[in-house]
Amino acid sequence: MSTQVEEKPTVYFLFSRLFRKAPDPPLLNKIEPFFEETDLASKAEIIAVEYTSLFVAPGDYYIPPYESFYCDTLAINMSTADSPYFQPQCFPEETKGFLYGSSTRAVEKAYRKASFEIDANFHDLPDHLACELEFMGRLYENHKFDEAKTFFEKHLGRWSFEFLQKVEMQTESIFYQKAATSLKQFLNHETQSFKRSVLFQKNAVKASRVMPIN
Amino acid sequence: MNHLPNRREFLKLGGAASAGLLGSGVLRPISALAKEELERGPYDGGTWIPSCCHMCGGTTGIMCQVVDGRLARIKPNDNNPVGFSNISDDFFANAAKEGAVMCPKGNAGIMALYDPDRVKQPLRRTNTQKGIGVDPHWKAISWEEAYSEIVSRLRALRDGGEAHKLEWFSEDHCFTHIQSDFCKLFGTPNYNMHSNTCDTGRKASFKILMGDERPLIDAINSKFMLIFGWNPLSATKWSHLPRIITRGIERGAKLVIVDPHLSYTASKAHEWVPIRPATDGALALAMAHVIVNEGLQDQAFIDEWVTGFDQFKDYVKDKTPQWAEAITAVPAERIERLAREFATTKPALVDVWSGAHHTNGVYAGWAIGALAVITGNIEKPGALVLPEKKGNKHIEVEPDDASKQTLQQPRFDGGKDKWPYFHSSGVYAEIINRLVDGKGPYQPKMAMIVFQNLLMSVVGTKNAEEALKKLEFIVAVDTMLSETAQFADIVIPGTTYLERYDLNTHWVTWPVLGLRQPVVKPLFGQPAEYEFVCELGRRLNLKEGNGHDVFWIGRMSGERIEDKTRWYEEFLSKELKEGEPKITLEELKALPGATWVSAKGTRYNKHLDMIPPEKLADALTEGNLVFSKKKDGSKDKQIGMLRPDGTVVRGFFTPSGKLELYAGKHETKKDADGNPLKLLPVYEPRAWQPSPEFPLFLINWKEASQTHSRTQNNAFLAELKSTDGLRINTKTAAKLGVKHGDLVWVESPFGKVQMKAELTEGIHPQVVGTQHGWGHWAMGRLAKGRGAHTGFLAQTKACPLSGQSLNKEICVRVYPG
Ligand code: SF4
Repeated sequence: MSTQVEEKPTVYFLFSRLFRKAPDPPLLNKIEPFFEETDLASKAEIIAVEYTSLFVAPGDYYIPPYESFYCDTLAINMSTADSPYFQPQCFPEETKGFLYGSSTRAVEKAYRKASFEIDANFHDLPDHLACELEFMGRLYENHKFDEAKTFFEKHLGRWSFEFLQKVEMQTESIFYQKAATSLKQFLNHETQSFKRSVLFQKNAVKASRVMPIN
Repeated sequence: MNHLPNRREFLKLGGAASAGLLGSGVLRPISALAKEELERGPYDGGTWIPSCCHMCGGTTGIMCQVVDGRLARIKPNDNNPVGFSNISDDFFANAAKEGAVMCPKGNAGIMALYDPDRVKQPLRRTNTQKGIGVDPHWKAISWEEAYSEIVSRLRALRDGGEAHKLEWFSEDHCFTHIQSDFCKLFGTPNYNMHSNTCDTGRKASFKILMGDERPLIDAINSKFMLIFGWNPLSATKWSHLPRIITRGIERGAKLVIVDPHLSYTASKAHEWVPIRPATDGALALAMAHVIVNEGLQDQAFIDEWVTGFDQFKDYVKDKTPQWAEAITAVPAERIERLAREFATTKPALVDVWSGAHHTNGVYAGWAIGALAVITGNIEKPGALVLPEKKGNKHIEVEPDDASKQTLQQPRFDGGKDKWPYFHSSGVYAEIINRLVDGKGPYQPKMAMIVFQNLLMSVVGTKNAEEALKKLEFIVAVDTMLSETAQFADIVIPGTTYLERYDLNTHWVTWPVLGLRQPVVKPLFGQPAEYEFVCELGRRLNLKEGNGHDVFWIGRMSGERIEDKTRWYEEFLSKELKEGEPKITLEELKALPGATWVSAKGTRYNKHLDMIPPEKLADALTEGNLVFSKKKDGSKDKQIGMLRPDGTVVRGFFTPSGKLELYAGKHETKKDADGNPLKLLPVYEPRAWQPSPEFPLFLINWKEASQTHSRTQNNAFLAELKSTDGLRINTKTAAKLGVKHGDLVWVESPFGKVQMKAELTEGIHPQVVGTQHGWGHWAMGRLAKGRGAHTGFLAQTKACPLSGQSLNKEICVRVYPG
């Protein structure tokens, strides 16, 4: 059964909330049927630690939830120093994996163009997954479907799958592995529907071109 | 959920949303300001903001290009002498033409700012167990939770009359004044700083010799540079260093490097003198022997400005080059030749830096300095020069009665009573040892660790681990989850130097003050460290003794200021106004390169400065020494000395007013181990010597590619160099059956680590060594698991004179792994 357009904002807002901070017991209570789980609320503390190790505290399990980290590249010119101690190592010429790249600013501008800005109490970066998801929801809410499609193609859709795949590989996870799978399915579904809408639009264009002749 | 959401499920979700369970999200309607910024569009070419580097403690001037809100590029700041020269004539004449420089670490600052492994939010550990390799099970918490927990812990200490049980550790050249103010107002005498893992040994040597802790070399005007245990062309700590040395060479100077390892500097020197570790003192004494024996000393200078030459002469009588050869492994003829060259080439300079991390380090540094003294190479162009460090003024705060009570408690590390040449940065090694053995005057309960990685910067890592475990509550403020931060109960995300303020006054010989200022806002909206400290002060309601609300009242306006950044800007303005520059922060920002440079320039022979009559009128005289007076009329600082002709000049701030080769006044003092102080710069074999079981000296050094143990996660620097092996002499390796690239075990009585062997002729055959700072087991994805941390192989020990951590006194055996 497919998701209706009017339901999409809610899905985006829910996932945005789940990736913005760890869910509290009331929220877990409400959503556990959705995740086919019981008694999630009692695990709120464990889920909070899981959330932190996956998305907040750098360490062995940390998966940076930022578009820049996955998409922005930087070319480093190899060192020309002749010292035997300064042999350039085997890093690829193009480096990825840093924060606050061009994507960060680009999404911030996209929010602003749509008349939004990041709340001052949100102490994180504009290209955080939670921001991008919420923005998608807002666009749908305001019936800005073209903008949603563009933002998805230019930003969210470019990196979220890679990110979510990494989360899905966290086999120790008691909550976010499932959350990632759900979100990935939803976003897959979004990708499909954007493709369909392109086809539909193309057909519509064709039709309109054809019409006058007929 | 293994299917796409269906209507029924969405209704449930809708319920969650309508019940307000999702919170209010992160996006808000756009503000006028943001809209205006959007309409203005990206600024082409961006803006250039002058600041000062802090990839190391060097404070080099930088220019930061901010394009569209992102830091795009860092380049040197030509208006700040720290990137050009430490001598004013050179700076004034050439800086604009030739341009300043930065080292590779300075260039790589962008990657410190945009490092994906930065701490973003306050974290609380949920695992009560602590230890190396133990997962703290962090839980992200709100700022409010973090503040209230830290404050309640601090309040409990203070209310219980135990404020002194707070140990505070901080980085130097970073918002130190507000941190030490906080400690004073809170009531703990235990404020500590990085220096005692760095150069307090050197400081003690020069303090004894010339009453000044940090003379600098005037390399640019020198004709002969004799440097012991220091790698200034690569281990830059302020980036004019390589330039002034190579410029000195271009102008005809000879460079001689004494080091067990063919360092980068040694590789560029005219001569490399490989020496057995910790025997530099013996070499210096033998050189002095030759100089005195052959009458090459500057007798006129000695007669006028040196105390104890006769005792010194007597002491070096039997310190022949042959005697030194047996100790140092430097051939006697070479010692003789070097001594003659050094004494007859004018001007010449000597220096030693962190080669002094061993038990004979302080006396060795004194002996090395003595070479400059007997040849008259002090306070002259091309020699050792005392910097005139006049910058911002630390406005002292007055603690209240409760704090005064606990401030009377002894320092936990023993302080001045224990260490004859104690430095105000404290004694990390002793703090660690006392925490473990419980033999201090009391047991600290809480530590605030700001930007310090004790586990990797003080050797005896297992011991440091035990010490950290003894503390009831640790707060770590850091940009990275360092090895030490892994022991914290709460971690506070710190800022990089590109996101905050500081005033910098070091590393040149005349008064200069460079501004460090935020070039971008803190990435995660976190407060800068001074704002964090200010917030703690406010919440604890800390006031001065007279009720003055220091953490609220702006120091310039005298008004209560809510905004902590603005409050701190006034804090800095006041320090500038009352200090040497006499300008406000805004005025400093407007100066070229945001750097205030005194036009007075470098002054030599400052010991000859006459003390002005108005100062003398209000001074105290004791023997031949002149002191300023405190408000209550008691003796304050030494300001001058009475000469036989009745004039009063500055002299040197030693007990005799002169340069001291014999420290007679120290006769009754004892070192931390209870041994009487030596009154001459004696050579004694260091405590830990090679044995048949552990036959090799293990040393470590710094290079341009990294700063201490804190930059190894930087992507640009990792590109330059991403690990280090064990350098071992080819002959030694052959004996051990080790080939280049082999994995070897490096083992001491305290532990063993595995490293890759790097064979070279460029290291003394009895010595193995590596660059310090590798072997992280936490910190970040680039740093972790590269190279080895040799701190595991040593015991935690402080120099009994200065409290300097003895980070280079290790013996090991090496075998194929
Ligand atoms: S020496 Fe390098 S890292 Fe240190 S302050 Fe200067 S430029 Fe920065």
